[in-house]
Amino acid sequence: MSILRRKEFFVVMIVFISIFIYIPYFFEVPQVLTNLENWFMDTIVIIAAFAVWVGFITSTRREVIRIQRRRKGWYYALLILVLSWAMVIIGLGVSKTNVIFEFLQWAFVIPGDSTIYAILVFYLTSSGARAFRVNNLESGLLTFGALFVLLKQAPLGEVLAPWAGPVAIYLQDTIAMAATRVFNVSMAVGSVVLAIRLMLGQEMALVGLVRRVARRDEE
Amino acid sequence: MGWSDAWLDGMRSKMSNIFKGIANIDRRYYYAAVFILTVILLLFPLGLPLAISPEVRHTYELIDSLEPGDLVIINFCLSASGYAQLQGACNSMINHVFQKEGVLVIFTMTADQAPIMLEEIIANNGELMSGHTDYPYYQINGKQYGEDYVNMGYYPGLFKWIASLSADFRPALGNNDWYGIDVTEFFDSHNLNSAEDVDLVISFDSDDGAGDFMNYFFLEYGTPVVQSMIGVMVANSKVQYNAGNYAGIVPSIRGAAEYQYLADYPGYALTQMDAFSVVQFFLILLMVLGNIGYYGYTRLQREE
Repeated sequence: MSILRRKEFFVVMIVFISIFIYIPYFFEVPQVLTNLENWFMDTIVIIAAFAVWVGFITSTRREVIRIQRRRKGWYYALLILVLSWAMVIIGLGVSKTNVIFEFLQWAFVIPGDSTIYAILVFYLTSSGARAFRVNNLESGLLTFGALFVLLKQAPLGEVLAPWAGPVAIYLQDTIAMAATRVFNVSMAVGSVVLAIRLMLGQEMALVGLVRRVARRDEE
Repeated sequence: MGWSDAWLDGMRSKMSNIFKGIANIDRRYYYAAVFILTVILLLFPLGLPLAISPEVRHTYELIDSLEPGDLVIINFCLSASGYAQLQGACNSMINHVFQKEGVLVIFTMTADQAPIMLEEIIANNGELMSGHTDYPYYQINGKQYGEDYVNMGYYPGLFKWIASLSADFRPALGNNDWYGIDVTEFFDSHNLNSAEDVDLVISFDSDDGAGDFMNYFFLEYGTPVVQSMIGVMVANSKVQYNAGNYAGIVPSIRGAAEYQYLADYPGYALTQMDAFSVVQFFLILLMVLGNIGYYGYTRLQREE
């Protein structure tokens, strides 16, 4: 097997690059090391730009397979293919600031994205009405908490129910903040643990090195 | 069983059906009601009162305190889905920054859909410079493109690019703006060479651009970071603001409306506030009705 596909090669690369990025972040180091860190950071941005292409090609491959096999909703796959390739060809052909490219964005991308997000308000209303049922202590606390926050959040609520404001602020700034901080600290600790495991070669799936597990019917 | 017992049973059955109906209103009625309320209130706003929150007032005062020569990075980490929520904040806050005499602005974008939104905001707040017919040559409150501000456009990589910008300012930005025009003169004439020269970062976010600026600008250089974010990000952003990691926040459409009021920039966010209020009250009403129905129905079921 080529050395470039060996797990050890990736582990050495990860450790080497991580050290040259972490150390200049936390300590004063000679300019040579700072320049090396800068070079790595710029390279990462370029790799990230190429990763967009990888995503695009993967998406094209997946949609082509859906169309070929006439899977359920294959015509949506056709639409995705046509629109995404049209954006790429026109964008590359006439430049990103061309009126045609911008028209396609204003006509399809922006309204589509906005509409999908705006639809959430209907689902939120419906789910809010159904989810906030007081049938035990926990759901009661959740419902009354939501009631106070809603009353405080709506400008009209602040006028009609000024007593809700201090309670909502307490809930947001104390209870919710404590929970969010727990979440944030857990994420930070998790990231450090993940980085260490990656450098020890224990999380190779993150760099795409996974053994394909044979299905029972393939064995 | 006497007539009174039969009458009571009949009443109980009717009440049970009513409570069950209240608890299980068809969701299509909710959708229709929300749609009608929103449309009516957007077309005919009532002008309901609006209280200003301390965090938005603080953000306004922070931007108002910018001095001549200060450099502000205005970053758009904003996709179309969040644009409707933050359009009011973008317009009023950018206009406010451009009112400050001698303040320099660099526009950057870390979301691919953002460039055309920024163009719209620039067109809303500015006018074409004499002798020019198209972007990027707009002047906003007297600030000229290329002299007082530049639009560097979209950079892929999100936090990776922001880290690169912090470490290697000029190469990370490049020499050409979004339109391919060489803007080296802007950086050279104002002696803008490193991330330490940035005095304020404002990020309009539907993804966490401000969080990355906090990591690489605030934590490294102490550069204050202001975030205007969509609704789902508010809880986390308030944590960062209360911890002192963000210098200011303008939360979602509510914050945008407050900022528009403070900046005397009446617009879309203020108009949306009435619909926002009434739909929230409608949700409260549905919660109360749902609980009455649920409680009444289950109680009658238990009695049976």
